[in-house]
Amino acid sequence: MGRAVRDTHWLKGLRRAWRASPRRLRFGVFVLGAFALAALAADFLAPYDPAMQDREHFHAPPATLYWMDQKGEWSWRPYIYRSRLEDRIEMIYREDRTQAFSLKFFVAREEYRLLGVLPCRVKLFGVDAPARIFLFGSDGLGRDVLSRLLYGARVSLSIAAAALLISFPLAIGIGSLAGYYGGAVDFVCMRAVELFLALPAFYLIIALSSALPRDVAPEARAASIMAMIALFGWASLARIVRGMVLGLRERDFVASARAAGCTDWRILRRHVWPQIAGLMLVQAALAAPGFMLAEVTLSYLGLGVQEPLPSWGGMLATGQNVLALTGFWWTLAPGAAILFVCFGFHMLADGLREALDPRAASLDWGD
Amino acid sequence: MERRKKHRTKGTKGTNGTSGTKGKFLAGLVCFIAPAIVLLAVWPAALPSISEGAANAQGSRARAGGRLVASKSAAPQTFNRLFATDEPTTSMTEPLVGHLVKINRQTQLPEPELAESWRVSPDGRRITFTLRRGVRFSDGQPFTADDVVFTFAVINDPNVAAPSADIFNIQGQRIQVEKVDALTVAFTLPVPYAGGVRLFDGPPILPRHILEPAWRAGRLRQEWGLGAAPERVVGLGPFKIKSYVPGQRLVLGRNEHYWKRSATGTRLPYLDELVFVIDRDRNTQLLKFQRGETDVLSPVNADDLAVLRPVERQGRIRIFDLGPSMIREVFWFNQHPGQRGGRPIVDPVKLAWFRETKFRQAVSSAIDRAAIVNLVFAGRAAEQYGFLSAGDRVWHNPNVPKFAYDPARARQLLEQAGFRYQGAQLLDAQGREVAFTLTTNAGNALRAKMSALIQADLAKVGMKVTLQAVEAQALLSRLGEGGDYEACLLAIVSGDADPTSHQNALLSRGSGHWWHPAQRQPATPWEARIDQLMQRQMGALNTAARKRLFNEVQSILGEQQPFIFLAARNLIVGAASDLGNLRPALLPDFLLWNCDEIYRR
Repeated sequence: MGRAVRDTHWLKGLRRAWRASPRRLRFGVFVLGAFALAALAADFLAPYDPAMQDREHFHAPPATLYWMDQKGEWSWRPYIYRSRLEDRIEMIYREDRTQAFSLKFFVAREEYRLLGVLPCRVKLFGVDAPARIFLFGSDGLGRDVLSRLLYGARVSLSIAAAALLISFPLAIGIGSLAGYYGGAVDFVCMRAVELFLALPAFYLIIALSSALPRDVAPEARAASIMAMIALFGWASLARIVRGMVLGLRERDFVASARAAGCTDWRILRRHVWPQIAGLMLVQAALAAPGFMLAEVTLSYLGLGVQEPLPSWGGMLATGQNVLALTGFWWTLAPGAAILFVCFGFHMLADGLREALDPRAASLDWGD
Repeated sequence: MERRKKHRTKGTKGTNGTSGTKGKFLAGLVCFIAPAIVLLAVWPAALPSISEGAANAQGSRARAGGRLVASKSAAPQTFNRLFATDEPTTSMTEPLVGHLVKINRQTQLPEPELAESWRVSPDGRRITFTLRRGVRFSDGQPFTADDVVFTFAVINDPNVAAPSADIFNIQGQRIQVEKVDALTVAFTLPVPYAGGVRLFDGPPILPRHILEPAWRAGRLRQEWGLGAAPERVVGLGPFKIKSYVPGQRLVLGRNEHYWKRSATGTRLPYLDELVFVIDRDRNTQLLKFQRGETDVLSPVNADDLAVLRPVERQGRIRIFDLGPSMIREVFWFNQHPGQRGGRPIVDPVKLAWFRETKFRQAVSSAIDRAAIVNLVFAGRAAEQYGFLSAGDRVWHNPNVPKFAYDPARARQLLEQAGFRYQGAQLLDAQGREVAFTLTTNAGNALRAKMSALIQADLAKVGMKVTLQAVEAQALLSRLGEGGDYEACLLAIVSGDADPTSHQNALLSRGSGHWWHPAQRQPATPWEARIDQLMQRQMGALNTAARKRLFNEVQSILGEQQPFIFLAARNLIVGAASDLGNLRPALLPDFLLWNCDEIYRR
C-alpha cells in the first residue's frame, strides 16, 4: 500500500483516466492489444508456415466455409472444398464438390515453440491433407495470406515498437538536456535537431537501406531498417520536450527542489519528467503509425524487409498492378491491417490526450 | 524475292577461313547488335514470329486515312534515329527513316528497301548495293548514293560517336564505302561475314543536303534535338514529324514523298497520323488500351490478359500470342576470379562452388521451371534450357542437354562434387554452409516472384539464398565491371536472329559474357572451344555449316550451365481490331515494324 501511495502521480492519473476512460482510449488499447497478441501467437494462429508455397493454388480466393451440407442440412462444423485452377488467364478456381474437408480446431502439426519457448504441436485450426485452407486467400506464389499477415505483423509492429523504444529515450534525453541546462548545451542540441529535421529523412533512409551489405540476413536487415527509422524519428519530439522542460524549469516546485539541494538528475526524474509523461505518451502513440508506415513504404519499394520474411509492406508490393485491385483484392489484406493499426494508434493517442488533458477538471495533476 | 535468292546463292560460294581479325570484327559487330543483348528491365524486347495471317488482307480492302495511337514509357531523347539508344526513342524515330535493307521481322531475313538489290563478292568481303531509282526525302529532295556515302562518313567519324559505329569499326579500321555511280554503292568489310547484309538494317540513311553543314560544324548531335523544327527533320521513312509536345505527345504525319506502294499501287503509308503518347506508368498504358484510348499495346504481360480478355470478347481488340519470345530469363553465378581494390570480387570459397560444373548443373536441376512458367507468366511462356529460345526459328537447337526439375538428381550431383548434407543444410567439402545472395533488378514484379520461387527451390536442396534487389542501372554497371554480386537473375534479349549477334555474350572477351566478362584468355577449355566455334561460324558463309557450329555452341552451354536459363515468355501484343495488315513479329518493333502498311478499316 505504501508503495502505491508513493507511486508517481502520473501513474495514478493514468489509472484514473482508465477508469474515467474515454471510450476511444479503450478502443485503441483493445485494437492494438489484439494485433500484438495475434503477432505473438502467430505460430499458433497461423495455419501454415509463411514461406510455404502451394504452387497449385496461387492467387486462390479466400476459402468459402460451408455450414450446410449438400442436402441442405446444417453441418455441426463448417467445411470447405478443394479447388482446382480452371482458367489460368482469368484465374478462375472451381471447387471440387465430391469431397468435403471439415475445418478442425486444435490440430496437430509439426512441433514449434510458442512465443519462442513453449514446445507446442497444436495449431488453432486446419483441414486434413491434401486440402489446404486459405481463409484469406493465397498470394501469387501460393502462400497463405492469413499466415503471412500474422507473421508479417511481428515484423511490422516490432519495427514500430522498437523504433519507438530507441527514438523516445533519445528524444527525451536530448530534449531535457537542452531545455534544462539551456545556453551552449541548448544551442548545440537544437542545432543537431534542426539538422535532422532538415534532412529529407525518407530519401536518406532509402539511400541507407540500399547501401546495406548484400548478404545480410533478412532479420538483420529488418533490424537495421528499424535503427534507421529510429535515427530519424527523434528530432521533432526532442524539440517538443525541450520546450516543455524549458517551461517547467522555471516553475516553483522545481526551484524549491533545487533549493532543497536535489541533484539535477533527481529533479529531472522526480519533478520534470512526470510532468511531461502524459504528453510524451500521446506523442508516442502518434509517432508509432509513422514508424510503421516508414517500414511499409520501404518494403513496398522493395528496399525494406526481404523475402522470405513476410512484412505488410512487402505483401502490399505485390499489389502494385491493376489486377490486384480488380482480381486479387485479398492480397491487399495488409492494407486493411495497416488501416486498423493506425486507427488504433490514433484512437489511443486521442484517448490519452483527452484523459491527460490538464484542463480536464476531473484530473488531478498532483502539483 | 529473286534478289534475295541471288544474294544468298552468291553468299554460299564464299570461303570460310577463320582469322583473328575476323574475330575482332565480330566483336565489333556485336556491339552494334549489342543493345541486342540488353537487360530487360521493364521493356521486353522481342523477336520474330508469325502473324495470324493478318497480313494478307493487303491491298484491295485497305483504306487510306485515320490515325494510330500508341503509348510509350518515356519521352524521346532525340529525333535523330542515328543517336537513339533506348527503346522508346528508337521506336518513335524509326518510322522517320529508311534503311538500305530491312529485316523482315516475320521471316527474320533481309529484304530490299532503299537498295533494290545487292551482290556479295565471292570472298564475302565486298557488298555492292544498287539503289532504288526515284526515291525522295520527305522534303522532296532526291535520294542518291551521296546520301549513303555521307551517312557512312558520319558513322565512321569518331567525333560523332554514333552508337552504331562500333559494328562498322574493325581493329580501328572502318568499313570502307565507295560510290560507284549515282545509284550504286559498294562496301568493303575487312573480313568475310556471312550475315553482313543484315547490318544495313541498322543505320538510317541521313539527308546529306540537310545535315552536312551541321556535321562539318561538329553540331550534328544538336541538329535534330528535341527543339528542332519539325520540317527540318527530313528522312526516307513513311512518316515525318508533325508536332511534339515535350513529355506528352509526338505526332507523326504521312510523308507524301514516301517511295513504297502497295500491291495495288496505292501510295503508302495508309495512315495519316501515327501518334505516340508518353505514359510512364505501365498500368496507365494498360488501362488506356483497355478503354480504347490507344490502339496498340506491345508487349502485353500475361497478367494483363485477365484485364484485356473481356475487351477482346467484345471484339474491340485482338490479342496475338506469338509464342516464345527471344527474351530469356536467366540466372547465373559470378565466376570472376579477379580482385578489385585488393579484395577478391567473389569470396574464394564461393567462387570454387560457382566454378564447379556439377554445382551449376545441380542448381539447374533444382529449379522448378514449370512453376515459373505457371506462376510468373500465367502459363504464357516456355521452359527454357538452352541458350536460344524456340522463337529463334532458324538457329535454335532443340537437342541441348536438359537439367529438368529433379531435386534428387540435384542432391546426387552435389554429392558427386564433394558436397554433403548435415540435416537439411548443404555443406561443402570443408564443412562450410552453402549460402549465397541472388541479385536482381528492383521494382520488377516478375523477377521478384521468380527469385522467391528459386529461393524456395534451392532451400529444398539445402542452399540458403538471400535475395537482393538493386536498381536496374546500378545493377547493369555492376555487371559490366564483372563484380560485386554472387548470383544474378535477369533476362537476355536478342536484338537479331543471327549467331553473330550473340558474340558479345558468348566470346570469352565479350563484355556481355556476364559470368566472367572481358577475359584476356579463355578461363576454361570449354570457353576456348566456344570462342573457336563462334569465330568459325562467323567466317562460314554456308548456313548449314554455321548451324552445325552454332548447335555445338548451344550444346556446350547446355552442358556447362554458365547461364542457367529459366523461361522464355511468350511475346503477346494487342491491337485494336479495326487495324489491318498487322504482322506482329518477335523482332522489334513487334507491332509497328511495318507501320507503312497498317491501315484502319
